[in-house]
Amino acid sequence: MLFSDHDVFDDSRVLLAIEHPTSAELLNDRLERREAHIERVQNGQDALAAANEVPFDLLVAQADLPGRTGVELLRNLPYLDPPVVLLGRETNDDAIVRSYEFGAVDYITRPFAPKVAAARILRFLRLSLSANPSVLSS
Amino acid sequence: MGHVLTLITLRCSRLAVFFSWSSFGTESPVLSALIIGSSVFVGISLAMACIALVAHLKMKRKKAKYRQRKNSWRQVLLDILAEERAPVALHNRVEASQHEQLLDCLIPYATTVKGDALDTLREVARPFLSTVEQQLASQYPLKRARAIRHIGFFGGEEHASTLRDTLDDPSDIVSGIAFRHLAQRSNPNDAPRLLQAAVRHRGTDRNQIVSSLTELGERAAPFFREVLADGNSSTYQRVLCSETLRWLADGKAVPIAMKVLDNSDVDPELASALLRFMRRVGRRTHSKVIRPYIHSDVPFVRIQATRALGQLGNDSDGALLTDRVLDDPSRWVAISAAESLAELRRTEELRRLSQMSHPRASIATDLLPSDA
Repeated sequence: MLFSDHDVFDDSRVLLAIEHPTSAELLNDRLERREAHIERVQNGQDALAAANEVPFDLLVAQADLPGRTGVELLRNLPYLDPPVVLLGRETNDDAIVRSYEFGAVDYITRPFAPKVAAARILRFLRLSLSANPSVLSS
Repeated sequence: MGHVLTLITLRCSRLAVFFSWSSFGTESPVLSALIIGSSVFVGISLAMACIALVAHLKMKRKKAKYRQRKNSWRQVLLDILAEERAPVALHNRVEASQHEQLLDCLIPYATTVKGDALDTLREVARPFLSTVEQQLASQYPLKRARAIRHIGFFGGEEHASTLRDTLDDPSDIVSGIAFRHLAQRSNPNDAPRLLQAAVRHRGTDRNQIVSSLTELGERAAPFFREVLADGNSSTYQRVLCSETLRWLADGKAVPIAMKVLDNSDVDPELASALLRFMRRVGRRTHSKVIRPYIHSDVPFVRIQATRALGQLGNDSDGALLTDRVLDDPSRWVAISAAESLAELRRTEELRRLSQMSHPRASIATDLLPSDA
C-alpha cells in the first residue's frame, strides 16, 4: 500500500486551479482534512502566476479553466514536473488520452466520487513528495 | 428596486418643499392650497421612502441570514460527505419552512458528485421530499418546477411515477424538467412514455431531447427501432428515434434505415436524419441507398447525402461529388461535396477543381492539403 487513510500531508503544497465552485470546495475540503496546504485560484492567469511564485507539489487544474485551459497550463508551467491532475467533464476517450499525452498524470471526470478523486490526487501528491526529498524534509 | 423607489420619492419631496417655501408668506388661496397639497405630498413621499427603506433593510437582513444558514449547512454537509457525521446532523438544523432552501443548496453537489456521495445526498434530502411533493399541487408553475426538480435530483425509485405523471403537467417548463429527470433514470420501459411526451416539446432544441432519450441506453434501442420502422408513427417521433439510434451507434437499425430510405416518398426531415444515421453507422456496402438522395429537391437532404457519401462512398463517387461542387444550386451542398471528396482522399479531383476558372474553385483550394 502506497499510503494509508491516516497519512497527513502537512508539508505539501497543492494548487487548486478550479473555477467550478462545488468541485473546488469538495476537493479543497478533502485535501485540507489531510492537512495539505491549499492555494485556490479560479483562472489560468492566476494559476500561472501562483505557480511562478512558488513551486507546488501538485497542481489540480480544471480542463476548461478560463484564461488558460488545463492543457495550456501544462505547456507553460515554470517548474519542471509538478504533477498535474486535470478535472473536467470530458467523457470522450480520445480527448482524455490527449490530456495524458500533454503530460497530465490523471484525468478526473466530473461528476466524480469525492473519496475516489481525493485518493487519486493524494496518490500523486505522495509520489511527488517522495520524488522531491527537499520538500519532505522541510 | 428599493433604491430606485427611495430616490424617486426623495426627488419628489425636494420639489414639493421647494414649491412650498417659494410661496410662503402670500395670502392667495390658490397658493395656500398648493402649500397644503405640497405638504401632504411631502408627507406621503417620506412615508413611502421609509417603507422602501425598511423593506430594503429587511430583504438585506433576510439574505444575510440565508447566507449564514447556508454556510452552516455547508460545513455540516462536508462533514457528512466525508463520513464524519450522519445525515441526521443536518436534519436537526433545518426548520419546516427551510426544506426547499436546503434542497436548493444540495443541487450543486448533486450535479458534481456520483456514487456513494450522491446516495448520501439523497439520504440527506429524503425527509424533506414529502413537503416538496405537496408543492406539485401548487397553482404556480415555478413552484411546481422547483418541486419536480428536487424530486428529480433526490427522489428514489418510488418517485419515478411522480415524474411520469408530471410529464402531463400543463406547464411545458415543469413537464420538460420531469422529462429530463425521468430519462436520466435510464429505465428503458419509460421510452414509449417519453417519446410520446417529446412531441409537446417540439420547440425545444432537438439535440437536448435526443440527449435525454439516449440516456435510456441500448436496452431502449429495440423500441426506437420499432417506431422508426412504423410508417404510422409521426415523422417527428421517427426523426427522434433515428437521431437517438445514431447517438447509440445502433448497428441493428441499419436494415430499417435502408428500407425507409428505399421508399421514394420519405419525408425530407426523416431522410436527412436517416442519412446522418447512415453516415455514422453504415458501411460502404450501404452506399447504394444514399446516392439517389444526392439529387433530392431539398438542399439539406443533398447536404446530408453528400456528407454520407464522404464516409461510405467509393472511388466511383468522385465524379458524382465533383458535379455537385460545380453545378449544385446551393453553395452549402457544394462545400459538403468538396469536404466529402477530401474525406475520400480524392486529392486529384480537388486539385483539378482548384485549378479551374470557376467561381467555386476556391472551395476546393481551401480543402487541399498544404503539400498537395
